[in-house]
Amino acid sequence: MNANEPLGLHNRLALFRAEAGLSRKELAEQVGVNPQTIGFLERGQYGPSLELGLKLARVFGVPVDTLFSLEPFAPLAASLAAPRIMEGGR
Amino acid sequence: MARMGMARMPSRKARLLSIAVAVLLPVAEIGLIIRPWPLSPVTEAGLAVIFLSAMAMATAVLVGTPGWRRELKGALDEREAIETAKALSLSYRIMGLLLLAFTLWFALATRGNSLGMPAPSAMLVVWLLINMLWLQLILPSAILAWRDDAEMED
Repeated sequence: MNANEPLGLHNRLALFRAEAGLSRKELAEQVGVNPQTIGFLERGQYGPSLELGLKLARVFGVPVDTLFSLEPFAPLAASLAAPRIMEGGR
Repeated sequence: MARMGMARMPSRKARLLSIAVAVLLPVAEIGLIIRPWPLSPVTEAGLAVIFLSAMAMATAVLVGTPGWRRELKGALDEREAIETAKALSLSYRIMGLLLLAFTLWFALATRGNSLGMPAPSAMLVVWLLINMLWLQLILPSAILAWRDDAEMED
């Protein structure tokens, strides 16, 4: 296993990028990498350095652990449904 | 993003040219080695053109892509720098194995006595190959030993 092949590092980069309406190229320009690198990150094929992780989190204005996690993120549908279930299914 | 350095050849083009070199270079070289004698001037010129074309393509890939080409600081992002280092490391191991295979083959092919020692005329080349092989094997460890901070280990 090489240093930057992610060992179970999960991210919500694609989700945040889509919500922000940014293309891969635009996001890449903001953090100073090749657009292909954003694709590798989104597919989980590359684990970023701490510096790049922090830069990406800064672009979206969130803490880095909102964007990256060692545990799998809950599916979006489950996250949206959870409050409703708690409120009795309304 | 401030990208410095020389223009880079698109990956697809580099792949196509690499395949072309891998096919054309052996064709030209084998053609020139096993040519029937005397070879017609047109055939000989054709093989020479193929050889030179392959060399030109190889040079274009070498100059147009990261690898041996020295990139300015900041020209590669962190993933690209890691991929380049991996490619160089893999190439180094492949070249080491090829050098080992060639050294063994050459030493066996030039046996000059009943003990299997190379002929005196080939001995210098065999020693040179063996030294290059050992240098190839020991260099990474030696470079790392000098780059690491020995004081920190105490």
